[in-house]
Amino acid sequence: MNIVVCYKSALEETSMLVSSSGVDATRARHKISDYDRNAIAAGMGVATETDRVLALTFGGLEAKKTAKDVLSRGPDQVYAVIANDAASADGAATAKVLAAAIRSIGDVDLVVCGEGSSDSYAHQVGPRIAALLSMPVMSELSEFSVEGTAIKGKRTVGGVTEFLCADLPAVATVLPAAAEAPIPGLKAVLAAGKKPLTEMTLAELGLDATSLAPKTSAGPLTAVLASRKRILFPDGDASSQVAGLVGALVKEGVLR
Amino acid sequence: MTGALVVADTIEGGRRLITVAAGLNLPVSAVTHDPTVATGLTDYVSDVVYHLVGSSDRLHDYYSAFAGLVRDRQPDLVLIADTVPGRELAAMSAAQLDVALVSGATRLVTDGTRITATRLVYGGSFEREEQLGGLTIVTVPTELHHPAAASATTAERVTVEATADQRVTVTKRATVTRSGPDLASALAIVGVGLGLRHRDDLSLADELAGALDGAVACTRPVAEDRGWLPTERYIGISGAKITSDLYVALGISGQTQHTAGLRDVKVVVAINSDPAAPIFAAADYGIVGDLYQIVPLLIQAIEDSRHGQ
Repeated sequence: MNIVVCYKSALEETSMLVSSSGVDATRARHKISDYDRNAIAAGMGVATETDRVLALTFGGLEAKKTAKDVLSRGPDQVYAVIANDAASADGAATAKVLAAAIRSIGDVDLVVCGEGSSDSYAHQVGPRIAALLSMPVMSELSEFSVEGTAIKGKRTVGGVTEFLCADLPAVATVLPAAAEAPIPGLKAVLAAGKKPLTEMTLAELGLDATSLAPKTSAGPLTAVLASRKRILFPDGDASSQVAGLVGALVKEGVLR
Repeated sequence: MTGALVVADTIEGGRRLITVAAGLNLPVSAVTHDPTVATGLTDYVSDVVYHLVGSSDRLHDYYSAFAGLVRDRQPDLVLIADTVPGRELAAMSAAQLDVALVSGATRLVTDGTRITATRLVYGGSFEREEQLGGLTIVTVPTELHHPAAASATTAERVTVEATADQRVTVTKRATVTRSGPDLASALAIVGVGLGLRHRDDLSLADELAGALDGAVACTRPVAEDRGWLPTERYIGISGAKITSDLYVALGISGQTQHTAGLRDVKVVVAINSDPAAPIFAAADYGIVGDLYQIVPLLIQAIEDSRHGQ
């Protein structure tokens, strides 16, 4: 069985600089998008020894920087679709590229994606890939397994836990709870250097940049600052701290 | 068709999305697969209620028929609840229609000609505006909006025969035990984080919530990793967004993924033993201290205050 795990190289938000003039991401580091680490672990978790796990990404040149980290987490090979303006790609474009790459790889039985990326967190690429490839999708699974030619999954919808089943080929998107993503050991890191990284271009996939133009016009990032009072009741006697707090809550009119 | 098409799997959820559409001065139609919802929404919708009739009881199984309806009726905007099935329906139909999907819009405004959506990115650390161009599907956390009042007219109801994609089957459903009032309607909410040491210590949060006549909630790891509360009880960018008057955070460090769910709370209180915890920057009032010592005193002080002592 061939399992494709999709991942994104995202900016590390803690390395982005915030100033009065805005958010500066020019020196920010790249990482494997947080939830995609769990998706990689989840894909590895359902693979048997005879299965091949292929990691797939779409990004700019920076996408290659995270490939070794991905390979040290177990996949046999990385496919990277590289395009200069990938950073501005929206969910629609990203899903088109990844779906085309999955068709090009061929004989893919299972596609695993994270629930959303750590940057845009839009929850759309996995289900969009399913629609484009005419595969069924199970999204936001907290557990999943492959049994024979079927995939089984568990997720919570409102106040109900659903147990789902579908025949392969299928797409699954997974929550972090589906698989822990430990830091790879030294042996795995060394082995990663010997695994193949295959680059693909949009032209090879029959796509052109104009068909991938974003469908909305996105503005700049702005920092979210909580406009809270930030009043701390001073150290000391816990009873007087609590009395101060309750007094403040009564004044606010939030104690009934 | 000009206006907004609201997707509803409950009457209340539909009414909350109708409020969003009304705020953009758009006439509203609605679509649902549930006959009770279809009937109920005719009192709230100004144009048409489309009732998708087919073999599935899950709205998102009708994504293809839904995409066909959107293609046929050409609304300016499609609004869907930002829930697990809502996100799935939105993404599947957006792919079939090759249109934009803006998910989890915390704000939607119009200048009369263009609609601009705001959404949180990078785990709630930043936000970004997106100006919509042409037909766009938007998912909205419905709990941020009040249910719309009845419309002056009764909408026309139109039945649409729809094929459902039932390749994914539900083999079993289990109801998650609910604890206390709904987060969407609670006026006071007590949230617990990883600073709570044992599952049994939830009784402390229950007692405080009882004194406040409120509900108990938590952070994502408490629900997902520890499984102490149902996942519908966690607050944050991927969970519930709350609008209560009061939120008391117990042993919560205050990562932006959590505090992103608190933006519409009137007063946030933090109790944490770590003075450097980021929750204090996202709180109105804070006590640096041991929650096991502070909370019993707080419960007593609230009860004393209520009894005029």
